Amino acid sequence: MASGGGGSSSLLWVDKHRPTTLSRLTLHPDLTPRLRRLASGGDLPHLLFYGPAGGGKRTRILALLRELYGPGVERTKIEHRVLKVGTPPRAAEVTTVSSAYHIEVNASDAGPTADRLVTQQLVKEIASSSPLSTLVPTGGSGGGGGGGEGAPAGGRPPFKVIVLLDADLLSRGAQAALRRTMERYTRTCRLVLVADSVTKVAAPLRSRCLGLRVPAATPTAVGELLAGVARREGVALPAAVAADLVTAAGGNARRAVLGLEVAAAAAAATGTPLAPRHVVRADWQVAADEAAAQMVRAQSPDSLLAVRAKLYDLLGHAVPADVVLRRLVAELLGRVDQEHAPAICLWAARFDHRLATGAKAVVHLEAFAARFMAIYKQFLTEQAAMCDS
Amino acid sequence: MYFDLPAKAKAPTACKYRPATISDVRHQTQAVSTLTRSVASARANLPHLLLYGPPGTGKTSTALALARELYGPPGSPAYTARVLELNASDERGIAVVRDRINTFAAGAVATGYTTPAGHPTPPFKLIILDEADAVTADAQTALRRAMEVTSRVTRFVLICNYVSRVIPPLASRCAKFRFAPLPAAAVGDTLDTIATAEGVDLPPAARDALIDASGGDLRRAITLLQSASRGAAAGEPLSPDTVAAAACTLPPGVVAGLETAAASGQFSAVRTAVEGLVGGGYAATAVLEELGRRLSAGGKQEGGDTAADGPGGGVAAMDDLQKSAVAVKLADAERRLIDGADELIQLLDVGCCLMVVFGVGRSGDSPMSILPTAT
Amino acid sequence: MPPKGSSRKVATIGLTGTSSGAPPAAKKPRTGAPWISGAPPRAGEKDVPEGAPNCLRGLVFCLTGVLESLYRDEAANLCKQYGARVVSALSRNVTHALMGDEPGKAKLVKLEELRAAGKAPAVIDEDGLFELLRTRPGDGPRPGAEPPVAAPAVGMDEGADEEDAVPVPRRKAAATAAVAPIARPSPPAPRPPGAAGNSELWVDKYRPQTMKDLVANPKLAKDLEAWLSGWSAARATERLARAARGGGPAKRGAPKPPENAARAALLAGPPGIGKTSMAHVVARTCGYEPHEMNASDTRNKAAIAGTVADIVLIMDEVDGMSGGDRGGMQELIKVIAATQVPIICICNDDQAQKVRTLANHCYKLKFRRPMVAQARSRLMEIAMREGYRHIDPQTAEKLAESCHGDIRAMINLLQTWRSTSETLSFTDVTERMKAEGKTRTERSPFELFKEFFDGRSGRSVNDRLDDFFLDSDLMPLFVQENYPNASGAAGRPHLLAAAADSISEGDLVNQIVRSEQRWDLMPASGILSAIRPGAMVSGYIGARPAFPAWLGKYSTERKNVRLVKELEMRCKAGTRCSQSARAFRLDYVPALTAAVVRPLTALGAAGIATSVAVLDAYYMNREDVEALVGLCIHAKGNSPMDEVDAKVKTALTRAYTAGDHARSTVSAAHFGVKAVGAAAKPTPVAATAAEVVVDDAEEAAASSDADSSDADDAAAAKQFIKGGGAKGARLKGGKAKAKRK
Repeated sequence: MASGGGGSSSLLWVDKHRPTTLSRLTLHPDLTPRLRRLASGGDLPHLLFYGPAGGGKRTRILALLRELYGPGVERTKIEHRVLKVGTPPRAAEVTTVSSAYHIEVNASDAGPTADRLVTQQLVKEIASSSPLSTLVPTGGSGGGGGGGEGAPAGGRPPFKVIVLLDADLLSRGAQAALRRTMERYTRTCRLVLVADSVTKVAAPLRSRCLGLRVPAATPTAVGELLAGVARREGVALPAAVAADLVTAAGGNARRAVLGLEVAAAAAAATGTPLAPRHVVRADWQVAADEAAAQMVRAQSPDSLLAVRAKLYDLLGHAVPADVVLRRLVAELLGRVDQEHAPAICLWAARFDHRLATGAKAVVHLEAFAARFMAIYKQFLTEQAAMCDS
Repeated sequence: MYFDLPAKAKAPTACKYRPATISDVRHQTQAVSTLTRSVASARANLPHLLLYGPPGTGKTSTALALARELYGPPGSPAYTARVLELNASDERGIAVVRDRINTFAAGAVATGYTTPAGHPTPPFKLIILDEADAVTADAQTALRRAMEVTSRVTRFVLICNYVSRVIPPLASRCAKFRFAPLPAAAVGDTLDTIATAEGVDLPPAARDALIDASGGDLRRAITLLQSASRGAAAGEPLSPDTVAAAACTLPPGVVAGLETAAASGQFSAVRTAVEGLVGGGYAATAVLEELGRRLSAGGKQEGGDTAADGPGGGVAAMDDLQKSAVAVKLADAERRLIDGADELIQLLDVGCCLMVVFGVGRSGDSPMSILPTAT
Repeated sequence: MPPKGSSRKVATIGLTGTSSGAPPAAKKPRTGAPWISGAPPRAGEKDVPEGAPNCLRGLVFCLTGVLESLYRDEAANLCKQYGARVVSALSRNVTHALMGDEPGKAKLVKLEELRAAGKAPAVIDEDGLFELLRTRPGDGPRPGAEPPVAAPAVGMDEGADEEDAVPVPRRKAAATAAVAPIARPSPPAPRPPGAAGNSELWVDKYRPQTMKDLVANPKLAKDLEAWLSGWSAARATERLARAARGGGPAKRGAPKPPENAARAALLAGPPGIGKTSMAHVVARTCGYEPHEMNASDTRNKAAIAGTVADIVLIMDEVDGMSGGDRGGMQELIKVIAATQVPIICICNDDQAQKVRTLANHCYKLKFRRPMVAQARSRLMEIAMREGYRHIDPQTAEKLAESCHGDIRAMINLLQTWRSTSETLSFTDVTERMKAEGKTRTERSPFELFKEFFDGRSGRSVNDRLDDFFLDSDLMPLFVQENYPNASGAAGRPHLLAAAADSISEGDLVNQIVRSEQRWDLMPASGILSAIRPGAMVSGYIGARPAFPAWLGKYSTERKNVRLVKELEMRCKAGTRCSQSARAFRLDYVPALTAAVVRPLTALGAAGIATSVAVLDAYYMNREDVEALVGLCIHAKGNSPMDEVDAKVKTALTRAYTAGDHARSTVSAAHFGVKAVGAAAKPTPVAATAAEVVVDDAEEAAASSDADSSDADDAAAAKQFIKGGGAKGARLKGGKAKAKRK
């Protein structure tokens, strides 16, 4: 294909080196045999992949699908769908990635009211579509390369797979509806739910799925992953750089590999070998860290306004508010003495809850900042007084 | 393997092991005996039924078994003509009652069917309404009317989890049967039976984990058994960890790490422990539940987990004042999590609370006075 | 000055035909009416005869000079009362010149002129007028039989009395309902003053009765009239059309009937500006009987609607249809589809979710608040008639202004104040409005929010809540924007934190208010988000008050969140597995930006090929470069693109447009913009890895026109966002191609 060959070399490393088959998965070695067994059984229960971002949930799902259906599953097309749902009908929009065997959809994109109807309608539509033919599709291989492998030995399963992304972000109504839909169409399709936080997946839904926990990658595993990518890309990766990247990524394999590429590019641009100074934080991390630094540096109305400007900057650039808060907390905990930790956590927990239930994110983040400043100021004043006396 | 059945038979295991007759229903002795009697002796003398109780206790199974005994197996002409199953439907409004139920109830009762056992079928139709408590109040009122009008030729079996959500006029027209959660032994027996039948290697530890996770819900226990056996690597016995992952619950020992860290008084340890929990993808609510369980367990945990080695011996060894301080925090955190708050931050807060309370235990102050409060 | 109270006496006579008692001390404003040249010598001494209703209709009077017993305005009103028109200048249209002593010189000259032209009016005096009243036939029985209920009026409140004494066309019409062109069978007498009393609301009393009385939206009145009078014709056309089709439903693609052929009209606009009144007036004007009903009762009333001819159904407050009646709106739409009578629906907000569907079935008329000048004359008229002394235009304007164009509120205020005083000056209005907490637009929000920070004003929480409710959306934002600048916050971080905390809590309450419609919690929201934080850091606002930045920032946020989604969507083709939008923003956006921009900064023109390759791999186009850069946070003037030489940028554009690119045709147009029509079925619009739509040369060329100008970041970003329309068009092309394949 026009872009297939030329384009793939220009893909980011994280995509270029993404394992597409079960046998190439490196993270979570204990999980792989279980996935293989699931794929070989001929039948598949509904699945729920859960675990933190960047742990490799989707990579595993893709590999599983490939194992189930063969390379045909990589012949995907993207569709933008406008569904007329509800009475009176309203247009709800979702984008789907689909192959002849599966469809990937993020129903939470449709919004908290439409997601229920979108989920139902899509599942219904897919479940009621004609059963899969067992014919091996003709035509060229997918972009993934591995076209020679053909279909799995036991023939393809007679059901389609619906991958439901961000299942934890679905509204309660949508989750309840999904539970019923799930039972009804169990003959013709299987659901694979993906959730960062299993807490937010309703219990009845959880109990109808086989839970597959994909934890964050261990530092060792991330290190190995980075080493592998670096080797394939012909980049010398000093241990110090690798360690920095692993720490910064915190178990998020995607972030680690992307970070490696950025660092390597920076090194290449200056023509120097890769060194720890090339490891940079992402733009939003820098901005959040600056806000935290400002909170520690000065505790005054003006300082609060400076923090507010940073917060607006972050939110305005589409950085989710809870991410901002988490980063702020982490930075503050790193910058001040341990004795403040309980108070910081206490207030962070409180305003985090408000972020989840309120509407204007900046207000809650700012209140957290103001509260931290107050606590820290008092501490500084008391300390100064103690020194004086 | 039981999974390699022809496509048509690939029903969930829980469905496959549904009791075929009423007397096969486990544990619900009162309902079983009454119903068996009414089926056997006076076939025509069946009241409207209301079966209620927590999920997975055999309500639907009982109703289906009843229908089968009265009319023969599903799919037989008598069954098709006489039984209307309304379940797991999205339409819970008044329209369903109006259209489907009334239409079904309106037709005359055909005669001449006999069950495979040779009995004539009873002279009424059976309407099984699952999840009756999810039917809107308006529709329930309409249902009550339908019940009265058609009671000569129909019997209703209402099934629900919460009897309080069925309007009283409706409930009062039915013979009520409560289905209690199954005791661990009953669940265990069933699991053993199925495991043997399916060829699953079910060691006692995994069996206990299943029983634990099911909470008396037999369907959940069986579903979990099926899921977990699918999730396990080939040829290995089922491990408690696999069960925990399949059920999205915590494997044993995970929470103890947090306790130990908190007891150490080192915030960095708490942070590491919490990050481990969240990084592990464990459900934060499950962590809270487990902490709560340990908190109320009273003495030392039977396993003598790692926490027991730390100062104070984990949350179970706290005094009442300390425990109440922790309990309040747990409640707070759980509610926030349900509202969609961030797991890491909430668990950090809980961890800090534990740490402070442990510290108070050592210093002898009142935990209430030391705990930072958000007011 | 004329003798006090005399007018009142005449008035009483005029209505009741009986002489009244001694004039009370009350007086009527006489000053300021320039045409009052003198008092009638026998003021109030003559009996004014009772005429038949509308007996003077069609006549045009011109008054001049001092009459014998009537003040000129009384005479004028008398004429008007019976349907005549009164003009101030003589012309050939005038039928009667009512002449008293010392007629105006100019009038006499004009009279001579007209006489010469043979178009002179009949010249009559007061008695002549009375004679006309006695003799001319009206359009209804003389109210002679009317029991003299008016007798008690003697002791009546001056205001009510006065009002009855000086009826105006609409006043009379209220009683007779006979102004409309079609004759009404039972024209009752002018309202007996006793019944009128002061218990009647002026808003009812002065409800517009004719088209001319409508203060606001005269154009809409005409439109509505046109719609209503064309209603039957439109139905006939419809029937013909249906017959032509053979009874089937309208064919798709058939020419749509004109908008105003709808079976129902929908009047939308803020409260109190006369929507209902207009509906009634227009209905009568067109010869229909208005029939008001509650929209929720559609089901029952529909039957009635089917049987009675010549009525107009007026469905008031359709947006207030009870929440329990879910299907109500659908039911109403059904009724509209089948109705045999015109239906006028009235709502406050035609954008409300509920009403929007209905609006599709209706002829929409959107009301505007009356302009101050429009309301002014009406207010003055009412005020004068109700016995206010001297209201100057400025005062009336002030009143109109402070009520935000709500005529109902204006009239109510007038009535309220009338009970305590009969004078009203500009300062009165200002004072009273202030005293009643209705300072509404008196002060800009910039000024008003400072009240919350004023600890020494002694204003109670309730006072402050009133301030908050003046603009419950903007006030909390102002407080939030400016509280760190309050002097009370300086050096007191704990107070600052407490204020911030309170604002944060206020947001929670506000969210509950909005999401659960718990309007009862609004005061709590106000206290938490404005009053409490203000009090916590009370003091003067140091810096110049800033307008809430939140509004702008939030819209930027929404825009960028959408942008992230859209980019992620297109990049799906490259990443092969979709990311959550959040992971895409946090991890991919920085990395992609670096991957695209760094070759340009490091290698200049030599890096272009690499950059373009990355773009292609992720199905992005040239514009997305700026979009990516725009999504990253960087200090002002420190954008990575700034380091790229302008020549390189131009070269990049050229290089990009010169090559063939696989392009995911899923475009931004979809997000928020309904580019794809009523597609019940999914609309495949894009192809990826395996099925790539390769833009052919001509499209590449076409798009290059739009893209080639090397605009700066901001402009490009803007264009990117706005490009919805253009992209939608391109999208169609893409679809067509996909089919060809």
